[in-house]
Amino acid sequence: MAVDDSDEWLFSSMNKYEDLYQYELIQPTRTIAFVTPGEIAVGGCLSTGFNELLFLSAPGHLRLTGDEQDLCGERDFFVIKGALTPHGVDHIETGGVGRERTLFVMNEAMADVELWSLANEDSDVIEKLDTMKTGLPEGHTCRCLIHDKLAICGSTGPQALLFDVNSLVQVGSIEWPRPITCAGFVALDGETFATVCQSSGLQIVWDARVGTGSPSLVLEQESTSKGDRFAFAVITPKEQPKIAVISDKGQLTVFDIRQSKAALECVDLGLSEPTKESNLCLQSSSHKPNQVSISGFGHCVLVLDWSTQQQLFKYDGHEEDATPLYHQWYPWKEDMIFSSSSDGSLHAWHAHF
Amino acid sequence: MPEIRVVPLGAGQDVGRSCILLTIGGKNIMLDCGMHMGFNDERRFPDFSYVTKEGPLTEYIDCVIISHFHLDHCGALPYMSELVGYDGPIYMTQPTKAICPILLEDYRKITVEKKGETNFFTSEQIKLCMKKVVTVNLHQVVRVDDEMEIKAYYAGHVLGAAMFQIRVGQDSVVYTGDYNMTPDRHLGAAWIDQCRPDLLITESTYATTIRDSKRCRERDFLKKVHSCVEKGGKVLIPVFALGRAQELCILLEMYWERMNLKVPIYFTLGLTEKANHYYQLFITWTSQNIKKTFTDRNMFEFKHIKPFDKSYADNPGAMVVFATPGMLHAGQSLQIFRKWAPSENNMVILPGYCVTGTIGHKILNGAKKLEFENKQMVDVKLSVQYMSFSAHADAKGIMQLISQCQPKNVMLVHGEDEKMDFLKQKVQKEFGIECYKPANGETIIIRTEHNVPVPISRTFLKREESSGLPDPKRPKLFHGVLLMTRNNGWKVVSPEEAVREAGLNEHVIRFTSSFNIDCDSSDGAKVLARVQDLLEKNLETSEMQTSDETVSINSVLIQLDSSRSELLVSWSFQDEALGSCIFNLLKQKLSGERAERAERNQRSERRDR
Repeated sequence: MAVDDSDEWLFSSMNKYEDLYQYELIQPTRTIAFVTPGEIAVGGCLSTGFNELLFLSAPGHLRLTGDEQDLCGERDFFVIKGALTPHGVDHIETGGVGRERTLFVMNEAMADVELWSLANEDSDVIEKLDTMKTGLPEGHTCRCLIHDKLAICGSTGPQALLFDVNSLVQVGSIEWPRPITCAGFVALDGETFATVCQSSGLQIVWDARVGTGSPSLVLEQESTSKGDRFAFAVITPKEQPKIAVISDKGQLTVFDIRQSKAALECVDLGLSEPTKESNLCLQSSSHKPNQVSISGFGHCVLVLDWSTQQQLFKYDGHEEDATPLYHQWYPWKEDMIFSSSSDGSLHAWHAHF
Repeated sequence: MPEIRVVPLGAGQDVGRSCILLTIGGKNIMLDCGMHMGFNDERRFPDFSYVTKEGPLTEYIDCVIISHFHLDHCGALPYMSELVGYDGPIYMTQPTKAICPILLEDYRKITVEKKGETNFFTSEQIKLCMKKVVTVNLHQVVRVDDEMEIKAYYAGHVLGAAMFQIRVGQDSVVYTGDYNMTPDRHLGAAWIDQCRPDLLITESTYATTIRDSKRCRERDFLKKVHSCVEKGGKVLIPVFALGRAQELCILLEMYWERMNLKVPIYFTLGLTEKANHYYQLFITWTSQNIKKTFTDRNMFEFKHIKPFDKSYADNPGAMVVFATPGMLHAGQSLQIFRKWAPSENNMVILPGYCVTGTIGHKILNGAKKLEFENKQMVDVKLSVQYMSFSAHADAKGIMQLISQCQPKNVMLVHGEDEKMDFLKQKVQKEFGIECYKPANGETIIIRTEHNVPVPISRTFLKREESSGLPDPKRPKLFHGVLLMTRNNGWKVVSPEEAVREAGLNEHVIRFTSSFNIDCDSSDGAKVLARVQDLLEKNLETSEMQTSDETVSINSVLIQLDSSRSELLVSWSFQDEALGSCIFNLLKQKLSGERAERAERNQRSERRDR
């Protein structure tokens, strides 16, 4: 019996991947938000037409282990709720005290943050609740982190703004040492946060106590990596927090926040330069603190041990002619990563073989 | 107002017992006649009292259409036709007609002989029912009667499954049954043309699901089978004789060949030969790949898969066995299971739905000990795996089908009672059409619009065409007369032709309006020149005619009455739109100019003073 190309894939994938799940969304997604164990949110990022905002129940296979997983057989996502939005979704945040069933949606090139409600039990449509008017510069995508009762919002400019997630009123601001383009925010603990400038790689850690004047900077660190675009991740935020930064020149730097000005590792990974359309993405594993994952260089997602610079795993399951958009470690199953690409693919795979 | 009525008797917000009553153009059609595998009493059958409280259904139903041979779509057919009573035609495809009676008989045996039920159809009644069947070919238009015609489209899903278009006059409905928009190894993908039905009734089994890819499921299946046999274990795969079994056999055959595995694979006898026989007989219903290679090699004649003898179950060593039936509720699969269950090295893979009460259902719910007849206990130590290979369209597939056939309305059936407001919203937003999801017994009424095609006289058309090429995106107003001729035909003609045919005198209605204009007797030529200039600039027409005293376009005549300083605009009823437009344009421009001149003069006078 002749073996065709699709069967060739079967055989080659068995020698490469442990668990593997491949889904096709109607529109590609640039964000994968893990809402609760077993529930995720994604949003279409096309610039024309309507995009789907989806709240999904993860398949049993991805929620269960052992015997329970074998008996389950369920490998499909179930659409719990959905909505149509005229904007391209850039990022989704969840949580916040008093906003447990709310999605905070940031749209491409828009300064405001949309709030969408998951609370209505009688319908499977996600309803738009409100808009948080940030006052940030128009034409730039807002980056937002929800932490406790606080929403930290920034895009391009000399400051980030702090909002109360329930009243949506501004309660403070953070002045940067100089204008930056935020690559996102990460909470290190209840009071300390980190960000990196997307264009210069400047790393900033600050202590944000609401209502006590300008939050104080703990760390301001120039990037030692060369490049024009940067992405970052925080490793072991609570214990010995470190910031890992990757540049579009393929240089990975890891800083220990407590010992500023001393890069633990700075290594040239020898990666080919990403295209302008690629999304540079760096994530850290919550289960294995020495492991980071990188996408945006070619169509693959790489998993590295940053301390030994050893490449541990390479996922090349997305189509070569599609642009990788995002990936994220699945918090509730060790070594599981979700990744998305511009052809609408959403894959879940084991970062080890 | 013409309308289409739909009442699901089964599969309304439910999976199982598919049976939909459709009323279209005065005709009543039953779409599928399935049974619900989850019930053992009268609830397993659709409630036919919706059609009539007593007596046979023949005079109330014009025809029955069966989409495919799964029992949840045809399982109640002999009960309906022979016990309730129906003598009209039953339409289905050739493969469905060939395979239906086999499954019905198999199910009858289990129900009557194994479970001891009495109020059930007999073998003879199955045969009588099948005598009423009329087979249809794909894309063949079948005239059910003088007014109704049906047409079958390929649905994928299982061998012989079809989607049906039902047309009565100008109204049409497409019923999908179960379908699959992605091709299988042994079946192709569903396809339909842009038939634009008034209503698409589509299954929605996986409408709120985003499915894992078929190749990842296959991968998982092969890995599990291989890892078990590699350790010397035995793998039991309970299947129904027709359907997913062939898909998995082709998959395993390909894998065994490529990996050069020597572990035996068996398929239990009985239904096996018949199954393979049907796939070979109906090769045109299979996938492109199978049809393409059929002349060189028949993909249903397996090199690595051999017929099973029950004595093989006691053989030592690894093996894989496909055994019927699929839920481990009786027969060979259950016998093999009882032998292999106590060993941890073995595995059972259930590739489909298992009804409550069956052994399959019990072990999928984690049962570790099972009791059989004579209080015999069996330990379940083998690995139990559930893998779904069922071939239904998911949300994306449903949207694809809607995009293909472009219906005016959509109805969702054969889906669990889940909220589907989001899918309905998507359909409305994407296609601008209504989407319904009725429950069993709920009637949905869809109003339809009829267009009456009428011949139009060529002279009339040419005359209208001469006034400029019509813009296909904009409606064009014609003034004509609908004439009923002596031989009861009708056509649209020009008013002149109608008057001539009727032998009447023609009366012409003209409208005339005028407005004051600032001019004296010597300005006449100037005014008309100005009129001509305005019309040339503002109207897209080359049909203007001028004389010393008039300007005319079509029947619109513009004339200056210098003695009264009035511009007259006159037009016929047919040119109402053009005439009004010209009048308003000239009044606005020329009266406006007059008013401006008057104001300038006043200002000038004031300055002089």
